[in-house]
Formats: sequence, structure tokens, C-alpha cells
Amino acid sequence: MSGNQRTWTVEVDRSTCLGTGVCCFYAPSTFDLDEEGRSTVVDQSGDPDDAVRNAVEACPTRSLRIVER
Amino acid sequence: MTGDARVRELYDLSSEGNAAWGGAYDGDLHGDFARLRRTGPVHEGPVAALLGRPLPGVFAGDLRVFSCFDWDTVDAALRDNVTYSSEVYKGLDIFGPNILAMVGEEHRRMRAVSQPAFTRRAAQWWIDKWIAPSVDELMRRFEGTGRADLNLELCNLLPLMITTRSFGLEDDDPVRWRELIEDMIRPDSPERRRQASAEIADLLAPVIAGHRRQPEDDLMSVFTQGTVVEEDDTTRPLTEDEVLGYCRLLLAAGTGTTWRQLGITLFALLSAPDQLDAVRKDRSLLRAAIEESVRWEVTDTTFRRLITRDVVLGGSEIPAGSVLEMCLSAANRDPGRWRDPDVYDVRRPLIPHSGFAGGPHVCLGMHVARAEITEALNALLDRLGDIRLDDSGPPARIVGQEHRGVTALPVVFG
Repeated sequence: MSGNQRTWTVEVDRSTCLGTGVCCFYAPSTFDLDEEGRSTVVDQSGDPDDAVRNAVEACPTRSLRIVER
Repeated sequence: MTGDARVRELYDLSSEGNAAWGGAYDGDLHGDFARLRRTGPVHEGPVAALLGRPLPGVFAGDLRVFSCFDWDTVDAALRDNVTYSSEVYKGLDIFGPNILAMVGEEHRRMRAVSQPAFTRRAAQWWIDKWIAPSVDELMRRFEGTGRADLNLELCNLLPLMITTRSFGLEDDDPVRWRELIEDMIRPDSPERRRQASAEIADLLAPVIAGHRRQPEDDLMSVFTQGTVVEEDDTTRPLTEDEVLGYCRLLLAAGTGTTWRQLGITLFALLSAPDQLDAVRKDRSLLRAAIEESVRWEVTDTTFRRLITRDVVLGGSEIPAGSVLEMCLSAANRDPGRWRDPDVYDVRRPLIPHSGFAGGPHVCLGMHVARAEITEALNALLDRLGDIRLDDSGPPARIVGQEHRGVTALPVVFG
């Protein structure tokens, strides 16, 4: 399923993000680090579902979550 | 000792210094871990003692020690750094104040000083400044000879050159630095640890002072010019001890793990020529080849935490004040998470592993390590033609107990 047809989006809690870039490794077209070094979503449909789910699972501080639309 | 003999001794896992980490162990480690996972996942005792081969301990003192061996327990302990506290590493008296041993906000503030220099984007800075030139320099030494021991001619020296150069130590003998680092972390000799730690401080003092006066475009300047953001939002430079703490920790972390992980990745691919061939033809598989290597054979099998409250972990009650040893290697081969976990398979679907640990202390250098391994593998595949293991001598193996790595990596090519 491509990002455009997803029933969910992914959100970042910037207050707990450590800026390790783990998410940018698993889903490099979805996440980037902003000028403060914290994760931000640059493209909700940038990567396949499993790549985004890997990023959510691997986030060291559980700062990513899937939100049903 | 001649230069070559020094290098051979230093990077021989069965030599005296490495043997203190169980480097000579040549048995069925993963078979032992599988048994401990099945009968656990939590056992009382240090990992090494549970394996029946105790090693000198530098962390626990007289504390009770427990060990955990499956994915769920290791992952849970890595993520909850308040309950499973990194302050256990404060018992390690050699680095000075450092992020490995910090917890919570203190850790967050100190890690933030260097985190921007270790992002996935910053890996390109590392490639351009140090990784690509070092790969090229090392490859030139042996690419015309038709054969090499990649453990001694590439895997060991590459991360050592990159790390020392990023510290502004390009004029020093990198092998001398590795000798000092080995002594500084040596588990069997507190005396040698302290001496090496002090000598490293003496050698770095003028470099730190020079960088404070005149910053360069390098990692050392990140520490000397960087600032810590305090709780009240004021900022301050790092103290001399904090700069030294960062330097000592990253010298150790940057030069040992990547040496052995690059060797393990090469060993895995060279031992499976069909997979090596697939990677050669489709370089997009390199990413999977490296992640699978880090899952399949972690270089540092075990990390530690201090348990700060009574817990139940993996069904076992553990009292506050105990040390927990988290066996990353066993977690990474948990059959509940990976099918046929003992098989190295670059086509395995990628899911998160604990090869770079996890939680807030997840490996700071992971993106740089991946870049080093990627650049090295690409250069080997591009420049050495048909590369294969040289089977004329004793077969290369992965050995070691706490530290894992290859015995040798003899290859022929061209």
C-alpha cells in the first residue's frame, strides 16, 4: 500500500526526540532532522509502510507514533 | 617488535590483551547463548560465568549480577534507562565524565554536544574528509599484490586512521594510539588502565589546547568549541575533563567495534559467494548486507546496566542494586523474532535489531560506522575484481567471547 492510500500518518514528539537519526536510517525519505537536530516528517508517503513501521519501532525514545486518520 | 609484528599482535584476538576479553574462545558461542535463552531468558550470574568461562570483571564489584538473553528482555532494559541505569559504567574509572555512564537529562545534554556530527547527513562529511581518503590510502598498499590479509591491512587500520585523523592526530602513529586504547580498556589490569588513561590525557592536552585557540573542521573542534545547554537554558563550554571523557570514549568505541564489524561483514559475504555476487551486481543490497552482519554477529556481545528498583524481568525477580548484563548477541538471534536466526542472509526482510544497542544510548557512531563499512566494501568490489577467501592456509573463523571478530581474512583477487 502506498502512503497516499494509508489509513494512518506518522507523528513525531519533538519534546522527547534525541536526534539520533535512527528514523532517518529506516525511512530516509519520510524523516529528516530539522535545524535543531530533531526528527521531522518531510514526506508522509516517502517510504513503504514497513520502513516507516521499522522507524517507529526502532525510535530510541518512542518519540514516533502511528495515528489513524 | 617490528611494526608488522606489533600490528599482528594487537589485532590477534587470541593475543594476551585480547584474551582478557575472551578473544581466544573458539567454541560454539551461539549454541551456548541459545541454550541460555531457552532456559532463561534471565539467569543469575554474569554472561561469562554462565558460559562456564569467567572473565575479569571491571563493573560489578561485589554486586549481584543477572544476565538476559532474549529480544524482549534486552529491548526492555535498553529502552528504560531509569530503571536499568547506565550509571553502572561509572565504575569504569578510565574515561572521565562520559555519555556511556550518564542517565536522563545529563546524558541528553552531553550527547547533544556531538550528536549533530554523527547524524546520517554528517556521515557524508566523514566520508569526504576521512573515510574515502583513508580507504584509498590503504587499498593502494595492497591492490597490486593479488593477495592480502584484510583483517590486518584494512579492517583494523581503517577506523583507527579515521578516528585519530578526526581528532587532529594525523601526524601520529595510529598503531601507537591503538596500543594505548587497548591498555586503557584492559579488564585484567587496573594499573595499565590508569597509566594509559593518563598518557592519553598528556598526549591530547596540547591538541585540545591548539583546537581551543584555532578550531579546525574536525571532530576535536566539536568538543573544544561545543557548548552544553544547561537546565536553565544557559550554555557553557565543555570542561577539560569532559573533552577528555568524550575523546577517550570515542577513541575506544570508534576503533575497536568497526574494525571487527567490517571483518565480520567481509567474512560473511566471502563465505557466501552467491550473496557476495548479488551485492557486487546490485550495490543497493549493501545496506541490507551490513545490517544483517550487525544483527548476525555483534562485535561486543554484552552491555551492562545497574538496576535501580526491584523488577520482574523475563519472569525473574531481580532486586534493586543488582547489575544486569544484556546479551545483545543472543537477542539478535532470538528465533521468536527472526526465522533461521543463525543464517546470514542479505535478502532477509529488514527489521530493527540490537546490534547498535538501542534506547537513549543507541550507538552514537552507527551512521559513521555504516558509512565506513559501505565505502570499504564498495572500494573492494570496484578495485579488486574477483575477490575470494584464500583457502591455502588455516580457514578464517569468527572467534571470541565478549569481543567477537575474525581470526584473519586472507583473500586473493584479480
